Amino acid sequence: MKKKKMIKVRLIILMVLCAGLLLGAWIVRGHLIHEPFRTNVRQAFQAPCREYIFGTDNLGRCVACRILYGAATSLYAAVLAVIAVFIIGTAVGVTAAYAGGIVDRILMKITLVFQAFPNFILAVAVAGMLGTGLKNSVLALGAVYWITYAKLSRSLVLSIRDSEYIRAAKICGAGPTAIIFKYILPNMVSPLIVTAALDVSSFILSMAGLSFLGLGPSRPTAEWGATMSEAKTFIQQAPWCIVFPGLALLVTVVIFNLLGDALRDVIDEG
Amino acid sequence: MIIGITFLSFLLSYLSPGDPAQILLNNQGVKASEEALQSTRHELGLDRPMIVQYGDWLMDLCKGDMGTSYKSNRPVLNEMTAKIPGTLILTVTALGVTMLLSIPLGTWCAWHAGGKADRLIQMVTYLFASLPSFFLALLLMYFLSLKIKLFPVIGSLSLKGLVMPVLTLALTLSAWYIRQVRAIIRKEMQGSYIDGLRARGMSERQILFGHVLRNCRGPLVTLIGISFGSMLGGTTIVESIFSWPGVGKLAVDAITARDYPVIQSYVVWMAVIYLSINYLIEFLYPLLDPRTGRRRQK
Repeated sequence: MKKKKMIKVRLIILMVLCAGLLLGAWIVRGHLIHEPFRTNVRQAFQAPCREYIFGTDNLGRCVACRILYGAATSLYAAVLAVIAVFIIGTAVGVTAAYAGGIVDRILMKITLVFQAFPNFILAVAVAGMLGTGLKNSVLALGAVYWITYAKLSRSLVLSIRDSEYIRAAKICGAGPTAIIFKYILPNMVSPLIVTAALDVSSFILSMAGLSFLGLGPSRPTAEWGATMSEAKTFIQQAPWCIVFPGLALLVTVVIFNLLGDALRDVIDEG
Repeated sequence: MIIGITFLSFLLSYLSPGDPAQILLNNQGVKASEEALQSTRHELGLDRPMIVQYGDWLMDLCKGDMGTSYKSNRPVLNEMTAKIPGTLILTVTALGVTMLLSIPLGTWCAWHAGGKADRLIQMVTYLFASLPSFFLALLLMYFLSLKIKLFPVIGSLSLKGLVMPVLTLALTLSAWYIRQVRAIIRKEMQGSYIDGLRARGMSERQILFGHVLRNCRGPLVTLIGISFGSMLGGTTIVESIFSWPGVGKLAVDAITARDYPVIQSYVVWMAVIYLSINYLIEFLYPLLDPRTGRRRQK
């Protein structure tokens, strides 16, 4: 009993923390001490000090302000993208399972083909073909992530579809839309939500990876991966330009991972 | 399956917004007039229906012709085959290091589950699993190459140059591996036959090495198949950071140059390698775990 409560409290704390991160990233954009894009070559390569707590980069831009400014890009892109793939993937999976027959076979063949590619490589290729830009990198990652939801939701529907209460609903004259939305979806949503929560962090990571390769949002955004990629050339003079964005990324990913785990534990405990 | 892979790869370049004729002419230093563009498009066959283009492309692919690179004007196949060994050396070595690190550590953690050291390792692997590989690579580069000058910054096809890229890949993957190995072994240890063995007075060591690990060979090998994809994906980042001469770097460079044929064949190659590894493991599984083989025969 006590353990159950602990798990719930942990989840609530993490949810508040994540909501705070999202909200904070939005608010902080308007209240930065230093302009994140204004260059000032005389202030270049300042080590962390009182004025610039995380130092400055090769163009004299404040690293701390850029990290705070870039936070919103990564966070919102990841959260919105996961919501989008969640909806699209689930729609595909539910359609496949409920329609059955040839529709199911075709849709499943398509997911199989997508699965044949190593995830990150497919994302890199799609982003590379579409060109840089925030929208394209999100699309590229979306092309990889929807499969999980399609497969998971398909198997969930198949496990529920023939249960007695669905048969009862059918006998009472409920149409397919009503059955899907009123009886099937509410009963399969929790495993999908756990997957989505864990995907947010992996999305942030992959997104940073893409922008590190120069496939993310086009400059000048202060996206973390892109900032670190730029800073690679002067790693020897100004290691802080890499360490602090890297740590920001690490902390964010850890927090969202913890949230996903906490959510899974709560749902597993029932 | 192969049709699906090739079609998706073809579709990628077909749907890309760039105009290959324009890129080709730009790379050749020709000023692209509308006429020149038209004739190049015709030469490349870009004015034909999509399905015909795909058919042609597939036929060429079967003959081993993967097109010509826009950038270097050399056959893509030659460029790829020159770089594939580099990537394979990298992935196989990294995989080997990962196994050497994770199987003993994971087993040890499972055997001493709940202890202080186990909890510490769990925490460290959790952190490493959240660590972007490029961050780790840059940290390693800063400390091992620039500060104590142990290894070269730029990876060359030599033992010393191999260390840093392999270390990056192996450390990131090990975080995930150790947790998986631990889970597999722990699950096996819950089997009731373990109690039976203990009751017969068998030593813990004998139980672990003679029975638990033996029974886990199958699932452990399956892990390789699952992780091989992310390993190949990881090489793109690691290769471009350390300038390792492999296909990952080739692909990233090709993307910057909008060299579509190279990107296309890169995707096809990677999918084929990934699939072959997984088929190989599926084939090997019954040999490592005869129980599954026999069940199938029944």
